[in-house]
Amino acid sequence: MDELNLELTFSLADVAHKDRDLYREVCQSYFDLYGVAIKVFDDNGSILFEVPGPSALCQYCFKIPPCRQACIHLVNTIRRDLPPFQTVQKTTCFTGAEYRVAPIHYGTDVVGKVLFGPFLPPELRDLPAEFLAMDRSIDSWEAWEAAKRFRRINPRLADQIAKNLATVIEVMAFVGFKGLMTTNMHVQSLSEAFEEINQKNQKLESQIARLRELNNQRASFLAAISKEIKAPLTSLIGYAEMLQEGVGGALTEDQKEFLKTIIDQGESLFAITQTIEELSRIERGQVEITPKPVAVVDLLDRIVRQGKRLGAPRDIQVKLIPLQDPIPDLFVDPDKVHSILQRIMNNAVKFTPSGGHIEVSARDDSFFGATHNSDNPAVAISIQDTGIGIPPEHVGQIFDPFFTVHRGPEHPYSGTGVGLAIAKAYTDAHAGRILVQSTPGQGTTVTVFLPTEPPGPLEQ
Amino acid sequence: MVQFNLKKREITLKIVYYGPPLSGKTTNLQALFTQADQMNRGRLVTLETKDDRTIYFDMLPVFLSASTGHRLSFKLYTVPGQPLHNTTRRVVLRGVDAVAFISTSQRDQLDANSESWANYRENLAANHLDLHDVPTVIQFNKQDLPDSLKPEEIRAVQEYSGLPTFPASAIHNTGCFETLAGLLKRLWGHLADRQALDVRLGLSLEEFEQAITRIFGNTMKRHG
Ligand SMILES: Nc1nc2c(ncn2[C@@H]2O[C@H](COP(=O)(O)OP(=O)(O)OP(=O)(O)O)[C@@H](O)[C@H]2O)c(=O)[nH]1
Ligand SMILES: [Mg+2]
Repeated sequence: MDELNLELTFSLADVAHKDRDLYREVCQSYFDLYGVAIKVFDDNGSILFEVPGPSALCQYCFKIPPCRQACIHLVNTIRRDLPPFQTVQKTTCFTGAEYRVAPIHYGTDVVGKVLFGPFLPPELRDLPAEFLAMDRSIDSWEAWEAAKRFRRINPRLADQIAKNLATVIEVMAFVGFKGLMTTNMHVQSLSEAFEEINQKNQKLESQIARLRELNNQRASFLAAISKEIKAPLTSLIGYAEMLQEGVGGALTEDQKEFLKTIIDQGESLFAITQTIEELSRIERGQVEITPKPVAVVDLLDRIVRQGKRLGAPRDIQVKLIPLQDPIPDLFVDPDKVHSILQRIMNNAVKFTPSGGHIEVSARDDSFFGATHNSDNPAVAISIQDTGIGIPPEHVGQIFDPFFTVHRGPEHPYSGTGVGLAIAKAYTDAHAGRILVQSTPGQGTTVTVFLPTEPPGPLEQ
Repeated sequence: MVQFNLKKREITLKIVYYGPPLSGKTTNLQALFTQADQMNRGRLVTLETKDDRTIYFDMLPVFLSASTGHRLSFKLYTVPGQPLHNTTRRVVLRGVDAVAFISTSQRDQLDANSESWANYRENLAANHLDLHDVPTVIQFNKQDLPDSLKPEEIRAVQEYSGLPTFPASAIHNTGCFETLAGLLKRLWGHLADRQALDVRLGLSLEEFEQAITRIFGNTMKRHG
């Protein structure tokens, strides 16, 4: 990863180029004010900006070879040399005209200069004798007429003007470069942050993959264990049944009672092993869903009948709330959906005290869709009990197959986990959703949202 | 990391003002800026702030000239103190030559000092540096606030850490020069030991100190 770079290297040419029109405007306004030519150089002596002034004398000199040479020499010197830090330099031309050179700073460096001139000092009344003596062809009157086109500027004022213009350019460059550095820091810290997020994402992804793998291992491990348990369990139940039938001799009433408990518990253990195997098949994607149109009423009738049978010994009322409006058929695997409802019903009965009520209802819930992220229309089927309820902090966990294991056997919900985990897995397999609403002490409503149409192209 | 620029005959040293959020790092640089002779300093660069909190860094360039014609240039940086900007802090610290650790004298902020100090050590390490490589002094700023650390408490820190300490009130422009001068003096000794820079530049510790004092002469005048 590239590290952040604190400072870019300052270049007056680069910084000024970006806002060249503004720099030109500033130079032009100084020219308008003083009528003296202005040039801005970078630290290599290249001209960045220039506003030419009167040049009659220069043009006159350029026609005379020795003057031309002297002129070129002067210009080259001015170009080449950078003035020292925080100074204004005075340069006098052989014609008597003057220039001022002021440094442009960045930080503690001189990064360019302003050239202000040529102008005439106020006291100059004649061209210097040395100039006039440079060549026989020089006409002093013509040269003086040309020289008079230059503005006259007081030397102290000239110092100040040059310094002032240099400062203005300096400040513009400072501000421009600061903006550049800030953008640079923005970009670099953004990309650094992006890089960090990427690394974290990668870490998370590999952790997720690892967890998935562990989960799969756990599922197959459980399935393997339950297969191992099943064989001895079957013979255990078998022998107990033989004993119960008197194959091993006559039994007392107490002994019969104990055997019945052994067989009942054995069978519920057997049911758990089957559930675990099924769950493991679902988790490993080995369960196939074959959806077809199914009438909601048929499903409800069947589950209500079953609920009544289960609830009868403890006097639990199970009733179907008549459907208000015609409800569209579900598009689901009927056996799997029955299994979902059955497991929910089992729980409802299990946790409803004697004499309680269970109500089964259904409604068209197309508006909201089977899942939050699909517009696949849905039907909601609810099973509402008057049981012990689930504390809010556990509502999210009841679909965890190991929830009851975590809680320990003495926990009132023990035995719910695996069954509901299957209900959830099957619902997920239908791209549906289960909603649990519960108030401890008052009861629980479990609602399953199931699709009424084949999944849209998005899900496929 | 001392930088030598042959062409410009310039040696550049990087000084970083480190420390907890709001301890007055930026204020220190502002104070130094107003004190420094403008012949020896550039503009104070303040890169992007939000509600006056530093986001990237501030930078004040200062230089002095040696009799050999070399220029000794110091770049004074601040780091952003807010925890969130650790990446920037680490980067600003890269290649540092000396650190002024600006802590606060407020009694209820001492944890922030410690946290920032631990963070300073971490970021030094991240830059493959160590306290032995980087001359460091500690400033206890905001001495003007009521119930701030007392001189003997500050001295205790100095004795315990072996690092020079300086009381200051940056907002009133006191102690900032002393902190920097103390740090530069230490740095100069360090560079004399390791690179014989004093001999190579013909600038003894005493002359170096005088030069620094000249640059920040405004303080001297203020103190009479
Ligand atoms: N009372 C008092 N306040 C100070 C002093 N020095 C700085 N402050 C105030 O403390 C606040 C923070 O100062 P800054 O210099 O911005 O702090 P900083 O360390 O740069 O903060 P970050 O950039 O967020 O890390 C400002 O309101 C300053 O005016 C001081 O000596 N005394
Ligand atoms: Mg700051």
